[in-house]
Amino acid sequence: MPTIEISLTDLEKLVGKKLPKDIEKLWEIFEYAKAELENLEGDTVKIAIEDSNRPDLWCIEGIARQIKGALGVETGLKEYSAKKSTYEVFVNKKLEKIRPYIACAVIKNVKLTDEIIKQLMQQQDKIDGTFGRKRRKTSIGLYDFDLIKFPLKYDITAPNENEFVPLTFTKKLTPTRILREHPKGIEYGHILADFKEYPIFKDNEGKILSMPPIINSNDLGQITEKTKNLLIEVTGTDYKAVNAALRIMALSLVDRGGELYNVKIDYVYRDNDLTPHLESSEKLLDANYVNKWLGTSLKPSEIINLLKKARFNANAKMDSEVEVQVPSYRTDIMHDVDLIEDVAIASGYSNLKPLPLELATTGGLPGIEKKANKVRELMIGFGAQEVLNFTLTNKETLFKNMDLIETPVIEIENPVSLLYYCLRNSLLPGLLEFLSKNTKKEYPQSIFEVGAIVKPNKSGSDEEKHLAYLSAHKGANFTEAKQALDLLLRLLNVKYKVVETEHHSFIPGRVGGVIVNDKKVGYIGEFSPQTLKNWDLDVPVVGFEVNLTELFENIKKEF
Amino acid sequence: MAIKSIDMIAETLQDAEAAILQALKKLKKADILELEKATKLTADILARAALWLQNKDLITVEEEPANVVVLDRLGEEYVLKGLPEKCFIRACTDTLTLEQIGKKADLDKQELKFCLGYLKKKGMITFKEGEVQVTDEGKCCIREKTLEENFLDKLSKEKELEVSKLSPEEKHAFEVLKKRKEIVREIPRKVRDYVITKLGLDVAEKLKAMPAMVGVLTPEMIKTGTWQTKKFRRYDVTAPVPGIYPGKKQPYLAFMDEVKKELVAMGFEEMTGPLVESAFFNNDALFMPQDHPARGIHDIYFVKEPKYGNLSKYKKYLDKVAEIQEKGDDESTGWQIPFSRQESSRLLLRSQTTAVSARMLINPALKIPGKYFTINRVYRPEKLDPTHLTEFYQLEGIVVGEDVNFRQLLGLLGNFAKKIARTDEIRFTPIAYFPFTEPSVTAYMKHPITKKWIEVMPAGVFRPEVTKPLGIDVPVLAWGFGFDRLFMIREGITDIRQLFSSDLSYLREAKI
Repeated sequence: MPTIEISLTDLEKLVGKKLPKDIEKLWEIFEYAKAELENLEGDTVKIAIEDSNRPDLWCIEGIARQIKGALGVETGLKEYSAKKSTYEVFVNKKLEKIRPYIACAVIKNVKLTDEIIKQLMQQQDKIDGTFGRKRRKTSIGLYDFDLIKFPLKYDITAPNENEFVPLTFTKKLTPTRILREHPKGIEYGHILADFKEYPIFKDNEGKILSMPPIINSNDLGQITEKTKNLLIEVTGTDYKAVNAALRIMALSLVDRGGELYNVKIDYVYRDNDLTPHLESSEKLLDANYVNKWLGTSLKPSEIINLLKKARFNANAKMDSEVEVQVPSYRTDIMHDVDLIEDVAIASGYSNLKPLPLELATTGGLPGIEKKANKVRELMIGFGAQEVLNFTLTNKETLFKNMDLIETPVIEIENPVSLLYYCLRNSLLPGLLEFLSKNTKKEYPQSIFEVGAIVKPNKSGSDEEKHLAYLSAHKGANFTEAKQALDLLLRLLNVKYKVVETEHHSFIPGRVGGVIVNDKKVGYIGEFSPQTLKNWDLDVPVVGFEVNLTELFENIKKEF
Repeated sequence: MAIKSIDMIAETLQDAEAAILQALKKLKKADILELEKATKLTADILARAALWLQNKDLITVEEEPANVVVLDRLGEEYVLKGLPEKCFIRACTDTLTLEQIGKKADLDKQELKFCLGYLKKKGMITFKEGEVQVTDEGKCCIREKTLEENFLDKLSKEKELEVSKLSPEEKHAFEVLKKRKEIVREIPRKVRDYVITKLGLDVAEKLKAMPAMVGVLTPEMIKTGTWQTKKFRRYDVTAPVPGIYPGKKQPYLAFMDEVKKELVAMGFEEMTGPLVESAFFNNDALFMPQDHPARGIHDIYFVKEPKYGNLSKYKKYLDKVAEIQEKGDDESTGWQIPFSRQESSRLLLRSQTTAVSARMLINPALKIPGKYFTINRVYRPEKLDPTHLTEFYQLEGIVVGEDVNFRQLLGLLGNFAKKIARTDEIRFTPIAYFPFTEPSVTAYMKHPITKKWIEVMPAGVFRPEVTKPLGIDVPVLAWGFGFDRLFMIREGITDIRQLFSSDLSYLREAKI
């Protein structure tokens, strides 16, 4: 889980209240902001943040906003607005097919400290990574406003034009070379891989601000303690997400005392826009629905107070209805249930007394599981040790070591290991592998497994439950395996036949097909010395495998 | 331990032990060969019985250095085909040249030279003008065994003979053979002599007066009643016995059975679903947007062939799921991002058992109210190490009912903590997010040993965006967690790979 580090002093300054140093109490306070306190070392608080739908909480300012409400320092919706301006961005029409959306804001008179810059970078990184889907969906750029001449151009460039010095570099590079040589170009270049022209962000004098979503210019795109006024730009492929990302970044700086100005975006391929969007939205919430969902009996007035604590505005309407004003940064509120969780969190999960679940239902296992359990009991009674193997395996185990010709199996497209890249189509190979790892252990060894195997078909796969049994010792022979099979099928009351068959893993003439109701349900036999040699086994091994799914079709009795 | 009476000791003796004592009563001191002769028992039985007697202080063992004679390289060969001189004479059926004899009797030059000298000296052959003839004396000797031959035969049978215990004849044969090359060899050895103790003599004396002791009680004795006149040998009930390995459940599966039993008793029915699943049930039906980061190649194994499954059976649900995600409805805004039906039919290895819950919700057998659970395998692209498996188990469940609610879910989680994890110490936090539940909760339990809070049970109420498209219009409580960790905590297991252990000793010895 990703973590962020914040300064407790900084947080206290933002909240406007001293916070307890006791770790348990601090943990509870952070819970209101869905932040898990990992540790507290000196002034540094390390918190793990869920990859949630609350990107507004991925920064210290957002956490402070939430905690202020929870502690009653400041409740209800905080109004944010942007001052009118003449700042304008013109968007090249070709970007519609490349990276169509842009949103900008200007922040003035903000006092940046080392700590605030650190937090800004952390927030930008986190939003680009998770919310922005590693910059594909959204990516953020920060610039020194005082070095830029408006209006700006969100433009396109040919790969070999518009050289500029990328951040942390000292010499000019073409976009092509940036993608090839700059670490960020290498990391994010794949986003632009399909295009012949790249996005480029320029000011009125043609100075380059950045090459979204890859890298800022070293000259204009650098924020230091001396920076007083900033431009924030977000580009991306999802209009809502682009605006959400801008809003979260901008509001952090407003909470730091900055003045917010809007920016006009001139599109050719869609209506012009004025960003950031800070309008709140309204929702009607029924107190009865809240109480039904949570199992509480809260009055509308109590719900209103809890919502205010969670930084919403709320007013009583007719009957049990509550009108809720949702702040613009709460993009996660899709449904009433999202508000209900906020009510629950504001009331404190530890204050929600658990209720007994009194719901009289009859429990039980499915028929196939019950029958499989009977089979396991019988095999244990027969003296076999139950084993549990992985369903993931490899073709060497399934085919080569079994002396079998390859047949199709379900393979993984993105395996991470050479040992585990396909699903088993039989249990016997796994059991022989098990024996091969235990050649130094006392014999006789007799083992079994009941488990799933999978075979591909045209539109997916067939899954079957199988049983396999092996016996390994100096005198192991066919009779012994057949005795076990006979015991099993006799006690399950299944009529069966064993017929001569061929199977390469076994000695010719010592292998049989198990037939139930004219269908082949399995194999039984003595493994060939070649198979045993492949597994480095030097004792005789006998055994069988049967398809329980098929076999159980013939058992009418319910267990 | 009280000193056992001579009677009691005598009654514990097995037949072989008694036989050794009887023999040693006469011999006082004997090695294993002598005991074999005296008792007619085999060496391995005697050795074992002697050890028992030693433990009971009835005999002692003296080890003394002594020289023994063994067969050497040629000796081994001659035992099989006869001594060269014998072969030589046997080959001389006609008047032959030395060369012809060598070929016929398979003797090399050196052996031929020896035979010629030896046989001539003994007057068994004559040698004239390059031709050999056997004398009457020689013919006679073909049928008789020499002292040397007898000695070699015995040595071959006994493997080794103690030099100091050879009879005069054997001694002579040994001396003769020793002079010839590579037939016999004298080597130093430690020789064990068994010596009867004072206590042993007393017990042996007792044995004379005792009736035959019975070891195994036979059906015959019971039927005929003869047991009444017999005396049963006393057994050493304190002696350890060899271990046995009967059939046994795999420990992790045994735990799973227990938990299932507990859940069934609480009124839960088990639900099942396939290992190879479609993105539809694994993700889409759970309101996970198609660009969700946990849907990528780092979190899910995708099937190579076939890539896409057939969802036509689920079209009704697919339409509604697509709609809620793309456009929302009168209650929800939805995700408002494009929904690909092909992406929805993508085949993968199930990455969360919540897929099983989604399938249960559209199962015609679903009962409302109803409680369901599954303990099943899920897959993640992880390399195996002490804390990660690439396939592992999750315990997942749902409660479907008109009047179920979030506080009841908390009550249920508390109940699980008690019944399954066996702890009362549980706390709930809102630090949880799943696209399919709202409100969500994570339950923490106190580790029984480390006393640290550990995250165990994420849960929540299914979002209406999950339930409504699947045709469910009542609340559904849902919970799911890594089942492996529960077992590891309970058994004190620190390496997760042990759950799928291929160590037979662990499985055989695992406590129940």
